[in-house]
Amino acid sequence: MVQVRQRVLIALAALSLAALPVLAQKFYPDDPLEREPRPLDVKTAEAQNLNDYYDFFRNTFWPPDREQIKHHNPLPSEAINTLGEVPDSTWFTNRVGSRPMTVDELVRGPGTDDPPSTSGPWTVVSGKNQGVQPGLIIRDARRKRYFLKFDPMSYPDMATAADVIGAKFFYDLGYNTPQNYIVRFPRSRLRVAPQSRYRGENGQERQMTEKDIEDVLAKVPRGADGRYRGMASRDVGGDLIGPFRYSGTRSDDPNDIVRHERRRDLRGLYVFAAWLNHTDSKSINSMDTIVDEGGVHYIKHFLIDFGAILGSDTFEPKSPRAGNVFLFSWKPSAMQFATLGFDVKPWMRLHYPDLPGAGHFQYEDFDPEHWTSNYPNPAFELRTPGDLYWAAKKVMAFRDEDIRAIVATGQYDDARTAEWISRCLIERRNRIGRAFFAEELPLDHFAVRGGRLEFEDLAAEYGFHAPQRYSVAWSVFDNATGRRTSIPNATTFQVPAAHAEYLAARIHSADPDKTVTVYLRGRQVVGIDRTP
Amino acid sequence: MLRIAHQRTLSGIRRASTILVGKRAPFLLYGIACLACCAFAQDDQASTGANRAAPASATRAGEIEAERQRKAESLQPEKVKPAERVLNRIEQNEIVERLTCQVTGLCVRFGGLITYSGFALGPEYTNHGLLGGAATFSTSFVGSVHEFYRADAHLNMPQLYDGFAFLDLDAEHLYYPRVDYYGSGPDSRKSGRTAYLLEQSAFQVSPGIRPIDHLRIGALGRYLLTNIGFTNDSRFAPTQEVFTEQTTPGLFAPTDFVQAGAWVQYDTRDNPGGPRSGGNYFAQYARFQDVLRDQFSFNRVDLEVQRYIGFFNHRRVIALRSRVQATQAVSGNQVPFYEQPTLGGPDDLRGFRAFRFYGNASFVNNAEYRWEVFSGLDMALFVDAGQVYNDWHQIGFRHLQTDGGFGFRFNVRNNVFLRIDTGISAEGVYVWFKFGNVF
Repeated sequence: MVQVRQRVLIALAALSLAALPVLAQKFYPDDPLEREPRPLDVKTAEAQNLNDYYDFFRNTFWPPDREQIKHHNPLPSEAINTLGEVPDSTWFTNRVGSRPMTVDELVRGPGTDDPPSTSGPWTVVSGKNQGVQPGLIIRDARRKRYFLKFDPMSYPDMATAADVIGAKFFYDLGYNTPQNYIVRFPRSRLRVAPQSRYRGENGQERQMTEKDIEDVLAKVPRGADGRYRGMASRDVGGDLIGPFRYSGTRSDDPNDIVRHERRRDLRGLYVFAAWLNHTDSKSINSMDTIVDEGGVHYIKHFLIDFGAILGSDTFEPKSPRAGNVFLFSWKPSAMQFATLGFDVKPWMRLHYPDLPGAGHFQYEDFDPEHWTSNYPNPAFELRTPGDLYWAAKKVMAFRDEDIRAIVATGQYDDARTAEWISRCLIERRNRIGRAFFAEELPLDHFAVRGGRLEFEDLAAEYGFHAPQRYSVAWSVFDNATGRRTSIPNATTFQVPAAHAEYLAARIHSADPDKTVTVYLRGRQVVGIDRTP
Repeated sequence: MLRIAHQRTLSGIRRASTILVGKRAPFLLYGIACLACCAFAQDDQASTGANRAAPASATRAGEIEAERQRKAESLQPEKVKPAERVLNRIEQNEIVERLTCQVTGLCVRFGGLITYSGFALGPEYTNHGLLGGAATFSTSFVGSVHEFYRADAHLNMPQLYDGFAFLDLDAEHLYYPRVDYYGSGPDSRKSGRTAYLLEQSAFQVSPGIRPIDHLRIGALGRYLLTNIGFTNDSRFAPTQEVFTEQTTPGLFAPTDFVQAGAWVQYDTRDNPGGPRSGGNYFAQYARFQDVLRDQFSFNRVDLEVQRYIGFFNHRRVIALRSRVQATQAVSGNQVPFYEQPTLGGPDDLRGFRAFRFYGNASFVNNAEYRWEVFSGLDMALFVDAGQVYNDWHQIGFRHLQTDGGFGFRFNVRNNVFLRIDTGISAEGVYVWFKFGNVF
């Protein structure tokens, strides 16, 4: 008797658990959320100094969420709304692909109206002449601060153009980026500030001298007109508190409530990084800053330093490895070791055009599904098909003319370089669309018009496959229980006249494994579920 | 998340029910299960935003705000992991730069002595900022576990006249209590190993110019003092007990030299620290004038050709080197054995002991196939062939000593900083640990 009662109660307990999701409502009245609520005031957030080597070793040998990565079974992405889109936040702002943008708007990116003033000298407040590439920090006549960076001697335009182009693309895609400008200036414009600091080749910091500027400029290309070309990056403003990590959350930021490796905007960044060949997408190429908006202080997250995108590795062209294999990973290394190097990969046979400003940039070998950053990025490694689809939509939203116009802002002296970069980006964009629109049913832009549920087949729209026939099955959706009740004979895209608050339309093509379920509240599309 | 929560709770119930068999246990379990439901549901709502459930009265924005508020009540300062803190300190205090003497000041110098000296280190002082940054001064004292010593001082001005000219001034004193010697000429035997003590002091000036890209032309002046003594290593027979002044000129009569010469180098290597393409061509002539005894004056010519053929986007490299070192005594003089060219060891014939061959001339050829294993490591398969000669007229491709082997080349930013080469020949297997590239 005791045993029977025990079993009954256990069954009841199990039922309680099973019923849990049924008791919860799927949609809130304010879904789909387009913008996260106003952030809370950040009272104390200390600057943190992340270590590049630690980041490399940790993510290469002891990555967070190792089991999920190993078994390719990531948890669902977060920081998304019920449509699967990323709401505007301190991380991300919907721009291209979310609303129509003109070429001018795309070219403007984070801004084009605040380059260093040429009405007076640029005062050099600090600088370095060590490391991979020299750089200076200047204040213009308006006392605005800029980071001044240069190209390597043998590769004019390469790094500076990449930095400017990258800031615009990543801004247009939705991220916070600094304003980067190509500047050309005579030596006489640079003056040393009385209290300037300088770290020379000997590594020691000291008062800067005019000769230090000469030493820096001696290492960079000079135009035929005697002027120097540089890239001036406007200070992002606020109180800089160091980079963000691609995993975990900041424990001192109340607004940072979603683990970074689960954020769709960081997982989807994989696609953007692949497109633009941002192999150096790691923590130290980001920056958190405390900004003050309307008296509320909050942490805003920036991507910075795009000198190592496209074919540039800042101080030299990218290694042909870049984008194809991690700096270190066990299997490829073991293969090279065991085969005495006779395992020749396709990327080793690639030819790069003789365009110094383009560095090593290609599209022929570009495989968006297997592109790699220099070393594993936790958010990238946990990407889901949904993240890839979300990001691919944004990449595909750039038209050919948009890409060419943004590339032109790099001001390549050789027109062939700009053409090559544009061509590569167009081809890589198309490969991204073709690859990631195939992983899910690429139906989007759902809306009810004239009583019909309408949508676009993005793969057909971009010519990746012929228009296809889709089937639909309607049901009444109970938001409180999650239960669906089929509506008999409702198998056209005409919205059925059912007296229900929510309707669900399950759409599929010939492949039954790929489905899209669209949820309507009245005539408003409030939710989209995609499988797989 | 939700699914995981359910599974955990259910399996917990099963486990608990097998343990707790008391009358009230089932009721207790049911209560726990219900509480767990609520707890997990709450946790789920809190952490995942749009995918989570919440009370019907809530809004999505309200849910996010509530979660932020919860976090705001338990904020903690960001914590840095101990390993990261250590790495930050290393970076901030420029520990690596100091260990590798890249910054002005005192640092530790590793190695720099001859093969078989054992592990060596010592203090070095470097000042990169002399003459407004135009000159670098460095001085070091290095000692090894086997009591080999070397002291040196250098003043280098690499960029005079906007890089057109350069000038190097060097002084050094070395004390090597054991240098191997097997006899002169190609027929020496491995079993004939002896050792001697070598002590030398040298003062050198080397000015030069760079008339065009890749080309350097320089002159060389040096005063060299030498002392030869008995080795203190009891494992080996002293050279003085096995060889004579006739077979080994200079063995009992070390002398001082004034050396004068000139050299030219044409270097098109893409990266001298780890070349993958280009070439390096070097020629030097020097006259060694015996200023003490007038018995050991001689002329010396060094020729070296290096060629690097990169393929598969330079992920594979064929590296070739050929080197000739030839001496000829002036009339009535002899070349002292301690200034004879040598072969054997980590830099030429890697399947033989260091200093295995002495002769008045040497000729060595090396070929390597190098391939990239990962970004920080290249491997190499190599073959070496070389010989020493009593007279430079005998130099040729006949009767060469040969070996083969494999190596690991560790690099940072494509510059090799450590190599481990294993050379195999008829005389044995030798493993060499060396800082820097072989060629």
